[in-house]
Amino acid sequence: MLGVERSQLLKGLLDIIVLRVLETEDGYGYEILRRLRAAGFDELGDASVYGTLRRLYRAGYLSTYLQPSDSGPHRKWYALTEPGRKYLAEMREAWEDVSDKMRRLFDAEKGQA
Amino acid sequence: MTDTPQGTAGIAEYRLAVERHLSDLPAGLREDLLSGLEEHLAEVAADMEPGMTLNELLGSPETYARELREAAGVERQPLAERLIRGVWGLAVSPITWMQVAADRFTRSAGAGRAGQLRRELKPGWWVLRGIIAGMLVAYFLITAREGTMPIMNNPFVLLPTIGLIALPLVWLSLRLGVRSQRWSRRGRLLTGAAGAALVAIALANFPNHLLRGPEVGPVFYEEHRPRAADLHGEVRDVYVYSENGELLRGVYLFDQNGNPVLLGDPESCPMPPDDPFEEESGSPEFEEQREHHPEYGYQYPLCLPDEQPSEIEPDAGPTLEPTETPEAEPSAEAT
Repeated sequence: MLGVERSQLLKGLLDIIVLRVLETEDGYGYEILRRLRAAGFDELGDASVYGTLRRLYRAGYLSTYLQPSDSGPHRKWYALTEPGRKYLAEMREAWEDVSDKMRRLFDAEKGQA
Repeated sequence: MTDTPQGTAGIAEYRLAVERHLSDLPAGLREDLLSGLEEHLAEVAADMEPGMTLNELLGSPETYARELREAAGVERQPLAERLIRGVWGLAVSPITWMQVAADRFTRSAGAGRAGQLRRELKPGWWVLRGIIAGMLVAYFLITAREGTMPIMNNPFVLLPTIGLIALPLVWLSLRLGVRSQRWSRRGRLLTGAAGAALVAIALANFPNHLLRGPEVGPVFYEEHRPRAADLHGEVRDVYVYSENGELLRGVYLFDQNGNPVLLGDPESCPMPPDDPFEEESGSPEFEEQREHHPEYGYQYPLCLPDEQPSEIEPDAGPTLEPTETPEAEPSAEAT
């Protein structure tokens, strides 16, 4: 697998990936990373997820709250806001549009071949 | 709250190492990327298996810094800027070490990170800066008119006066402090340098004057008396007589400003009598010679003559005729 190219591709999708993971259930920093890895995004690092969470929070797409933890300090949980859900819907629409077009493009190439 | 497997010191060191790898970025952007990172790392460390380190779980601080940079869409700075920052980075290592030490120190006292404590203490410094400025202004005003405002020697007048002068300066200092937070780094550095200069001026002046109270300095008239005009020899003692010609003892002299007038040298008085028992028995006359109040200056005459006439003929003196030694002829001629 072309690691660098895949990594660059994922970089552009980080927002939609993180927002999608939080769409159904709130989560905290490292636990979100675990969910992403379980979904197959092994190359994503904690710093990428943490940086994305902060950026989305700044943009108003995420809200935070603290929850006590048995194993350490209070954890900062992230939750989608209404603007976040709207933004995710738009991003998803855009992604599916691009994805469809890409699939058709690749299918057409196969047909010509 | 329980401690994490990595430990707070390890977390702080990891964060500082990440910060070092972001040192090519402008301070504002770097701080933005790093804000809240330590708390996040503490959360991560709490989930780690015992014995595991942040390096093992998250990768090296360099990798972490690169990911943070990429997630924020921040490219590496141009080579020239990196070189300049690299040179600066040579000096940063000891600074980083000191930051770690300072963090450990403040954390051990339960006061959080040193940087956080410094930010919390800023308003206190702004108030103190205003008070110091007020004290300096009061100090220069009072010393410029030294002696003409004896009422200022009273602390119940002096302190409220300083307070009145300091109040608007404290307000100005607070205003300046709040506004300077939005200034550029250079502006903040200049403000800090001005504050340090203020403290330096205060330290150079206050210990000698305000903290010790108004200075009642001795006035050594002999130092100012031109030698060329010294027709009668050096003044070594002062004899004050009443209108009846009676020698007054234990007299203090003050000038028009209330400063003690010091003439002569009490150490030049003849030594105590040869008979040591006489000294031990406390010759009242000798004890009196050595008694000088520090605020009032010397008591005159400094050296009591062996014999003093209790009365002299009013016609006999004092005259302008000098004598070689005051004790020789303690008559009215000696004034």
